[in-house]
Amino acid sequence: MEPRRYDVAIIGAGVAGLFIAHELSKFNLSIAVIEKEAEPGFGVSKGHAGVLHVVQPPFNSLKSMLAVKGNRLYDRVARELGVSMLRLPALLVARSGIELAILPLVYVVLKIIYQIRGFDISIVSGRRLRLLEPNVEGYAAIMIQGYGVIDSFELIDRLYRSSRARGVEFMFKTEARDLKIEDDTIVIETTRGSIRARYVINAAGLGSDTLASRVGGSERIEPHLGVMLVFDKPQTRSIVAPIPTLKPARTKGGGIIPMPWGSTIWGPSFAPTGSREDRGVRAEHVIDVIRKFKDLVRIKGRLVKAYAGVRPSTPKGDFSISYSPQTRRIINLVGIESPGLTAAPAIALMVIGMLKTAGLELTVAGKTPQKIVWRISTRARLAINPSGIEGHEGVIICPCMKVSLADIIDAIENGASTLDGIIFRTKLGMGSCQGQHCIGRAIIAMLRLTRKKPEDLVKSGEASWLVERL
Amino acid sequence: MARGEALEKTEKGSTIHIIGAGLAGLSLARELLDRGYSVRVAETRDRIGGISILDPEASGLIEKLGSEISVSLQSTATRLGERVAIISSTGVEGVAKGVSATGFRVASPIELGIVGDRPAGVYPFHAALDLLIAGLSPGRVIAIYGANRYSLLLAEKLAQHGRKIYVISSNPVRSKKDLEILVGRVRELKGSQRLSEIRLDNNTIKADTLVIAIFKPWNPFPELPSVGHASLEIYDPKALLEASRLLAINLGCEEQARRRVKVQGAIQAFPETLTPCLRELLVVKPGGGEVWIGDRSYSIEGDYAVIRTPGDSEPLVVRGS
Repeated sequence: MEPRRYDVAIIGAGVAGLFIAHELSKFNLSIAVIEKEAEPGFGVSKGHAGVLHVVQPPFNSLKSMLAVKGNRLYDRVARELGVSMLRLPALLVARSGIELAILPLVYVVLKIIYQIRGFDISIVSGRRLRLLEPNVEGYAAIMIQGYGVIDSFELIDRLYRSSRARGVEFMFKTEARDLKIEDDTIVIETTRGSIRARYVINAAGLGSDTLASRVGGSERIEPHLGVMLVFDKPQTRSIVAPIPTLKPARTKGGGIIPMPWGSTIWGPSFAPTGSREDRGVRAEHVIDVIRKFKDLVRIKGRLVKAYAGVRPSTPKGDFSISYSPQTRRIINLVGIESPGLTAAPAIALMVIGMLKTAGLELTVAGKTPQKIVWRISTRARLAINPSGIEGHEGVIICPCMKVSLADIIDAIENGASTLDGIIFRTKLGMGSCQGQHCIGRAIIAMLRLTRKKPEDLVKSGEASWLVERL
Repeated sequence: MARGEALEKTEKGSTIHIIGAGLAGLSLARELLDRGYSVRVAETRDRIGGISILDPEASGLIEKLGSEISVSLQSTATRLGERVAIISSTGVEGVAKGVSATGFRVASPIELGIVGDRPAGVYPFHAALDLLIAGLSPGRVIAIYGANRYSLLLAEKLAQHGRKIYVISSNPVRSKKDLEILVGRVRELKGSQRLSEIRLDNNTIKADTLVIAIFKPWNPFPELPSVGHASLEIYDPKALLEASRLLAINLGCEEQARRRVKVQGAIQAFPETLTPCLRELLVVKPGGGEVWIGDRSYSIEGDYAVIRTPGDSEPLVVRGS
């Protein structure tokens, strides 16, 4: 029997691949998503702080253009998918006489860049700065409107679930190894057999260059690490960063970022790493981040966690979204690093346009699928109106983040197969006590709910076993 | 540390919520019940005993207190806006008068200066204890960071079940049960999926599990007075019972609101304020030695002492020699 042939196969269930799947699922197409990891968003997207950027240097790059476009699409996306998102400004703060002296010059330069793209920019006096941000230390600041912070884990979960509800097939723990072009079919050789599709989107993150090179691509990824520090209390209302100067820094951009669930992230740092597997936190990167931000804000809360994300950077420093030199039926997305999350909705529209140009017929699906009613988490219900919280909703497993047994059951029912899958969906263990009250109990709950053997439970990857029988 | 403000005057009829059914919470409940108060004990886990559950010197007492006192299990205190509330499967209940007996906080890797990979197999002490009680082992070759009463009890229990155990301590300690003790500090973790290697400042060990057992007193509800490990870093169950007794005297003091003396100083002392009803202070001095309260000196043998205070000079300063 001929194996099934999909209209479109997407390699990679990160935020870019998921947005493409989500948008394509609105058309009458058979779609497969192939993912190396056990769950969506476990690759590059895992390390994201959730910032929605505005303009990005270099300002005339594809990534800057897509970030601006993507940013504007997010209000609709967040509404459609019911994802928590905050709109907030960024403040570039002058902390010294010299920085104060260059502030007007920086303002004039930035005003041209930002205003032309529709983002309001203004100078904030020291007095107003203290009113806006009582914890921030500085003489004055430049305020840029239009940034955002989104719960990127929730976004990934909802993109995944909405695409799946509209018929997209997901294949996890399936790594694409090779691409072969046949007459009207692309054959994807994976670790679990071959998959055939008329069109292929390579959104494989850190593996995208290797895969693209199989069909003539020449981009090369040079991965960079970014360390982020998590504090357990809110510190600012805006994204706060020092005013940009000409000093080269090992931190690229980054800032003090308020999270939608009440914690604060400092970072990221920016440094090359030799290995694509490396997610190690190095002491010098922690120090870089602390040094960059410590004089900017009065620290509230405790430093509770340091983690590293990886960026699939390319030497050109821009996204590369192009047809394979050998066929227009393969589209390679290489170098989708920050601001990839911001750009992702715009990337999806761009890719759909390219598919259309390459001959894919797009007819809107006749039947509108049943609208998904997103469950409200126990934490959100407690914040709005605690009455009616009972049963499994009232069994709180994580006191800091108010995660209930009902939240864990919901996560597992909707695709969480690993401990990290539960953590990302629920925020379990992401509060002040960093898991002391919940991690053991969550593992025990997973055992009971999934009926797996203890040795089969994992944190994320297949070898990341958690426990064994005593 | 205890802040008496929230409990200005505790009338006998009103209910006091105790958050946590470890040794401190249970013994405070006993003391308050004996003084005629109505008490509700809320425990987030589905068992009582907290981290004293493995302690042979405490388990008998915990069992006894558990049979005398009714505890609401799987009832979790949390903050809802400005208020503290207790959430359980039967609903949400506000706390008007409460005491935090929430126990120790486990230090996080980054605050201990531990960097490197973030693989599976790194557990805070409490999580490892929860797993053990559920019949699970956190790993095969287990390093326990921090040598104290609780960590050594966990180490012994896991060793009894055939696990290879290392105890890592920044100070030299002696083990009764032939546990392998390494003196050093954990600096870096290695392991792409599961922990494989722990780098100390002076050594590297192969282990698949790190249990962090370095504890800090922490009251998540600072508007409530606290008792036990939420306010004191001490590793003697008898001291926890003493602290509960002192707090119960304070809570019951009719004149509390009017004449309170603040306790200050660099030495751990409990409670944080003294009422006219209470003239005793629990002073912690690990290893013993001399302490000063005001202008008088006292000699402490053992790790702590309950000291009768000189008078109501304001504030009361406790310092080392």
